[in-house]
Amino acid sequence: MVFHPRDPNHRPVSRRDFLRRSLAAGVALPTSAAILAACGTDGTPSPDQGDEDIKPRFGTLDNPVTLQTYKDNPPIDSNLEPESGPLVIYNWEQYMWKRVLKDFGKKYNVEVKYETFYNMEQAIQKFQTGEVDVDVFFPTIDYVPKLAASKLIQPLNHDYIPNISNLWPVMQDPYYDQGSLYTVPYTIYHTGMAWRTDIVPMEVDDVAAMSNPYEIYWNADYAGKVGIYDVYREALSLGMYRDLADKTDLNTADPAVIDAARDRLIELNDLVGVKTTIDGAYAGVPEGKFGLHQSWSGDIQAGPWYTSDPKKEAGLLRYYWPARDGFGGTIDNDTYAIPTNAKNPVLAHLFLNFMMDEFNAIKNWTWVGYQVPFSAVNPDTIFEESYPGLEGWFVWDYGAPAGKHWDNLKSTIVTEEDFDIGKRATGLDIDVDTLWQDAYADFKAGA
Amino acid sequence: MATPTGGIVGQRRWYYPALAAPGILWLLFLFILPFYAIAAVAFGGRDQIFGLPIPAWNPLEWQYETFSTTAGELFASSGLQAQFLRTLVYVVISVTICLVVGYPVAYYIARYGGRLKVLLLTLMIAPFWMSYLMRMLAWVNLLAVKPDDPGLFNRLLLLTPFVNHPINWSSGPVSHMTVILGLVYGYIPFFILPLYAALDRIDKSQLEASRDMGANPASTFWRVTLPLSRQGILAGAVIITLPMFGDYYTPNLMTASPENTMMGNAIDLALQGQGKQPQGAAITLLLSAFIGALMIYYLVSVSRAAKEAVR
Amino acid sequence: MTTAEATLPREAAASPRVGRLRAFFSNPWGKPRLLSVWTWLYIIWTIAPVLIAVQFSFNDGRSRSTFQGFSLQWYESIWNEASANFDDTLLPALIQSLKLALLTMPIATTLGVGLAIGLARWRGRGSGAANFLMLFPLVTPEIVMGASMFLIFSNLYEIKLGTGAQLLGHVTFSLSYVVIVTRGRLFAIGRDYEEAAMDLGSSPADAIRRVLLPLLAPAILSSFFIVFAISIDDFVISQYLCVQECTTIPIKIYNAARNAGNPSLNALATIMMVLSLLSITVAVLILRWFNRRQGTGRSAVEDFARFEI
Repeated sequence: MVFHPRDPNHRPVSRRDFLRRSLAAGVALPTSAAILAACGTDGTPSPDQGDEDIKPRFGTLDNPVTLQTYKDNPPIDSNLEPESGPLVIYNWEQYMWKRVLKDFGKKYNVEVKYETFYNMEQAIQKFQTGEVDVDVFFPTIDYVPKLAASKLIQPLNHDYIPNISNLWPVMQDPYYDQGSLYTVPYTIYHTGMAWRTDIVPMEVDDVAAMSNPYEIYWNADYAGKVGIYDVYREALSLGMYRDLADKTDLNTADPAVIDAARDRLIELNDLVGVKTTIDGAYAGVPEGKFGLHQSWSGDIQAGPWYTSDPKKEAGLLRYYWPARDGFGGTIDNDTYAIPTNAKNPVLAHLFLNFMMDEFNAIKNWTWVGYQVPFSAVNPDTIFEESYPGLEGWFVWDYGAPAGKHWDNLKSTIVTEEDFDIGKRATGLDIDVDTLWQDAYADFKAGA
Repeated sequence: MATPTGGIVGQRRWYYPALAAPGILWLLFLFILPFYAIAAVAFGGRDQIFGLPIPAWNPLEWQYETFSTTAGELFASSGLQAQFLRTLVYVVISVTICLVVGYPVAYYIARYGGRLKVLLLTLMIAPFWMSYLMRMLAWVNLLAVKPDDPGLFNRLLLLTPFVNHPINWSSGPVSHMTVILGLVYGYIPFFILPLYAALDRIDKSQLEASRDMGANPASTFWRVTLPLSRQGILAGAVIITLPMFGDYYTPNLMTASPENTMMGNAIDLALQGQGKQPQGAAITLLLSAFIGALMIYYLVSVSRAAKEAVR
Repeated sequence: MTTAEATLPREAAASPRVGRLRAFFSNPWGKPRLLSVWTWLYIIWTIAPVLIAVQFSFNDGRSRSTFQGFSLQWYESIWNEASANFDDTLLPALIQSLKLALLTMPIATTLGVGLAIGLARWRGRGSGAANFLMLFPLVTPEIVMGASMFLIFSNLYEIKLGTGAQLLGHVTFSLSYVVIVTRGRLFAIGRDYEEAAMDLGSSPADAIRRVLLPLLAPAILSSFFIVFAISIDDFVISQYLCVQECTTIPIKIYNAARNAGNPSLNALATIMMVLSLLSITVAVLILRWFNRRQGTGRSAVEDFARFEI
């Protein structure tokens, strides 16, 4: 969509819907323990493990992992001249602002093409068959180890991407790809709950004061007004947080835990008739279709635009991430990677570097709605004082009285500290993943 | 006038099959053979990294584990069984309603259309040029409830003395009615049309004869019309029943609630899930086997009737 | 006869109004009023929601349930870049739907007519099985067809999912409809003309080409337009065989109906409906024109509705 940010109708659209719509698969990695045991490593870095070790290495926060590198898949040399393009970006639909792409094109005098996919699985398949010819790809973190192990993405040459130092340290050296060998982070978000105070008459403090905020869903008073994401990992983890709060293991392979989570969801359905949606947070709650919905932080951040009267209704929206009060919560990010067979790898590196420039990244944020992990993003100042050159572009200014912002949305901003307290959902082994999917299918079957 | 044995008559023999051949080959390669792909995926394996299915094209290499687990679920108390039974109930109720609602309409237009027949027929065919999804969408909008607006349908109901507050159509026991309403609404035109076609073909003189012999209208209907229309009812019923078993978009559109999902939803969910395609294929096979018996019965009886008709 | 005459005077004595009402309903020679009312109720029930949806496509606001005034903004949002709600995915969806329909029409009709004629005249072994095969797609759930084609395209045929695959899918399920429509007409025509031609020495090919096809023309042309209407409305198969850049209008409606939709959906659907309507109208008009030339007793619409199953 080509809105001008000053256009009163400018709105960031949630790309999460496309991301999750056909992605019932989502995340599918083995628990690290199982994999590491199988690999015979203890998680310490060991580059050039050798071409025999082709099993994906899945890390966790406790056991961060360095992805394997292969002799026959080296990074490109330093100091090469950029190619003439065109640079092909392969991303979810509407997940990157075309304007920012144009800026890059102007700077390096190349054409930039934006190809889209609707379904991560299909995108992966196209990589494997060599059908796509793209230079930059956006895998979710569960796929990164698989792609690295299968040599489908190439290791990065950090000489080309000095801007990586602009990121928060935790993002420069993530647990799933220590040293950022293959990827750099794109957007960040956490999974909390969004509601409207005219249907769920509670303030954030009230919810935080509950013995377990996650119980708010299981309240028959809100029957017919409650929704969760139609994503099996997110849905089942809600059930787990309800029982185990901060002790939840988002990557558990324990069938008993998974089944208990499923039973919780079935109970939820019996109690409130829960709906599974993908737009429930960014559109359903603002529109009043839902009173309470599971929400990614970026989704409800876009809320004001979807209300029928922002002046009256945007102020009713609330967002809360229970991890901030010790109840556990999911935090996640997307990544950029460069395919092994990219035709313009130097340009691709330069593009990554360009996108890790503060201004460009934040400019992209104002349109995409999903946040970027930059040191310059001080949650307090970015909200009130915006960002030089982008004043008034952010969605929390939309429809707000002049000079004011929708303070109720401030909680949607992800901070660096959030990464210390948030739980990460990594990939699962195929068999474990099937357990999760089967449990979700049972819930969806109305058992 | 010459009819040499090897010439025109001979050509006659192979010409017609040859004419039909392209269509037949097309159906073989793009309809029949894909069924084999379902089996190959259901009985095949999957890649351990990305979960992509590895179909087993050679029947000797088929692995039955996934299939038997899935089949086992169907026979044990499980989500899949619940979906299957619910689908059965939805279909039976929906088809019955279609019959009860649709038969009089088809009968009326066929028998008593008169001068308005063309108009009535046009209106009856109307749903065919309205997109199925759009018709569903129309109902979804009518039923949608928002805080400030109970929805058009509710507003209508609130006018009657029976309803005192807006009904939430998408949760609770009411949601089943909503989905059945959706199914009936969507499929009934496909039932009425073949039924109409059959009823229209009934020779009026037979009905008049029955009347002349003293039967009252009700009796004529039960003993003459109904039996004659049996083939039409069967045709209409089968044309909507079998596809309805695979419907998944109607529940998704009408209520999006787990308690209304049908077998089609189970298949859809599995086929989109990473590593679940063999399971999805297995469920598809099971569903096909179930409706296969019905399918075969119908096809045999109809194709027999059709062949006699065109001869 | 005698019952009516016997009861009427007695009821007339009881209450003239009730008697007339009863007579109105139970007159054995008149139209059955109950059925009539039922039929009209059915028609209203079927069509009204759609008309309401069309009404909302002209809505001035974003709601699909509260009418806020008349406006063409949603139609504009499809092609007009400057319009406030411009969505650049709507027009490609419309174009894709049209593209698929227009490509499916000739392919499905050609194959289908050949199949219909072949099946009708085929006398040897295999004709039964072929007939059986042809009817199969009509009664198969679409998800089974879609899933099977999806699986075989991705795993065996190496056909890339997308417009080409969708086209193959559309032709496959349209084929049976063409055969049904054509066969009805074939039955009406009968074999006499061809037989006569062949007795006079023409080959079957010539007989078909010069005698049968012209007679079949209305059915063939109707098939064209029926295929158009079917193809433009197809959802399941289009969805399963599409990965990107092949979204059709039904897919768009389905996705948007499950997401936050605005009335631009209604606008798209209305456009599609108008196109389908035009297409079926043309089909019916063609039938009518031919009927008039050949003087069968029934109207074109009746003919259309009477196809052999």
